[in-house]
Amino acid sequence: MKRMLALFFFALATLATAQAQKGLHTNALFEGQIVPRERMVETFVKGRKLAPYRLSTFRSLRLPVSDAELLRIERLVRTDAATARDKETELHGGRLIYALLRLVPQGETQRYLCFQRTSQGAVTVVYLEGTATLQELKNMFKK
Amino acid sequence: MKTSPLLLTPEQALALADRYFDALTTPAEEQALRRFLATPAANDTRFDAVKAVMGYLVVARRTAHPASRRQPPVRTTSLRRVVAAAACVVLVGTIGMSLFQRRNNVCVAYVYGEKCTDETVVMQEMRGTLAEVLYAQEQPDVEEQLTAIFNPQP
Repeated sequence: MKRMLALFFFALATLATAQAQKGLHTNALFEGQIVPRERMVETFVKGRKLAPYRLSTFRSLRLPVSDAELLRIERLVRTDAATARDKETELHGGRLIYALLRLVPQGETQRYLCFQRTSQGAVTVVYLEGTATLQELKNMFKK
Repeated sequence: MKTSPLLLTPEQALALADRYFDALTTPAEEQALRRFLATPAANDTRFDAVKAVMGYLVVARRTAHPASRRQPPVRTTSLRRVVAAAACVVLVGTIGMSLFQRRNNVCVAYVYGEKCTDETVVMQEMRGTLAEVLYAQEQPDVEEQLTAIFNPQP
């Protein structure tokens, strides 16, 4: 019950960002419509903590997926990729294993969507908003 | 002494004034005397003393102009009300700003439904995830590494 309440309030807290992600097909994944939230590791950062990186919003999901769920998620990402301004993708056997998309910006705010499929049957999906360019982000988050 | 219910004569008023100063008048007699003092007939120095004592001017206005009502005192906004209103505005503004900041500054993770608000942990997760996805394409995967080992290109 406590967990359900916590998830409920998390859903409310992310509502504002959900508005910004409105129009994205992958938003369904962030809203728990494809895979239940209890199976995910979700991270949501917004505001002053991201200011040093010139970002305003960071949302990520890491989750193990079944083949059917993976196919649905892949289709969502491909649909969003179709309208992206820039994209870096990698396919393996015709299946998407990596995508780095620069989506249609909202004014001065750039938006990015990242998708990665690991060999362990899990995926990572990241949504970003901010004024930083992709190259700047890569410079900041070098491994 | 019998007084006319309508208006006294000056002589009657004088007699009543004497009785008034001796504290012998009835409330009805005092009222009749007041009524007389508000009339022009009382513009006589003989009535000066009793006018002064009975608050002539106020009584005169009331008696001469019974239809007119006392104007309510003009309410002036007290300093206390101004301070209270300002305090309310500041309080509401502070609460509003606090809610705005809380809504626009979020740092939270949910690990399989368990909430984590440790900012250090959350930011570490964020940085790790970004480093992973931004450089995923540039990292050779296992297959590539094995290929490089067993089928090296000349």
